[in-house]
Amino acid sequence: MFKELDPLLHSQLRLAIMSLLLGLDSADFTFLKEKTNSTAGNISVQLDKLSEAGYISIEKSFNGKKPLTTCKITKKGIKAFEDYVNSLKTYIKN
Amino acid sequence: MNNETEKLSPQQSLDLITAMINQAKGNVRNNSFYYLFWGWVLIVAHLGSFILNRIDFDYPFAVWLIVIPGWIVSFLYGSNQSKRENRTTTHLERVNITLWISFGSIAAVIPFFGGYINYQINPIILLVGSMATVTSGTILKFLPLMAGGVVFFVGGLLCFFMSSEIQSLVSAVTIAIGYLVPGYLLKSQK
Repeated sequence: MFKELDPLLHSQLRLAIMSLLLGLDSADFTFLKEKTNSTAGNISVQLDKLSEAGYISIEKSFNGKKPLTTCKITKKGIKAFEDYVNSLKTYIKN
Repeated sequence: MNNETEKLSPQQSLDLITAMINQAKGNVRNNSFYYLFWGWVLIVAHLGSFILNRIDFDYPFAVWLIVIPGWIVSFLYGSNQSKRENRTTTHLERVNITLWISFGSIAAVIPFFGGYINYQINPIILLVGSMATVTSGTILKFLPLMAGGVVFFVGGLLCFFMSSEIQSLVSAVTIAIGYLVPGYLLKSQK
């Protein structure tokens, strides 16, 4: 039987962000933007969605006058990611 | 990259996850500054200690006070770096930093308990340092630093058989070969 895929993770950019954060302790906005090759506006919207779901935590600070956004994956995010991958496996096997 | 307009197949999802994880891993920065800086500070301290012993100075260990400004310089450099560069930290980078802070803490307290260990301070610190150096070399996937750890291990064992005066010389040589040389090689790799 197919498990339903988490719609929040089953999107190209959000899945990319979560996969990047899974391998890092923390990452800043510019890094995520560069690695996912996306626009600032787009990534900003997706980060907010992930943050609202509690999958990532976002810390906003300043480096001099430059704003700095640092993201971290949460325990809830890791669990959701693992569930997503397990669901994917059932699709691949069948 | 599209946000959600494109439907992903399970295989595409897996490919994307693999690609992103590969982007993130192996992102450990090769920062040679600490190896070169501490290599020189410790060599100067050991040689200074040897010379002060030779000239029968009453407090040869006073030369070790230079590690205090050393800590301050390291701390200032580290906090400056984190402000300048983007704040992407891999787990392995954090492990590496924690490893050296732990080593520094051990090295800072052992001299105060010298009396309990028959004043075999140098060999113990070199042996603990060998563990930190080999592990750091493994984290950076840098063979010369791993080999440097082995040099520390051998130097530490040799020190047990020597007088404290000669231990200073052996330690200076060990640090030069095991720490400074890999540090310069690391720097030249950039």
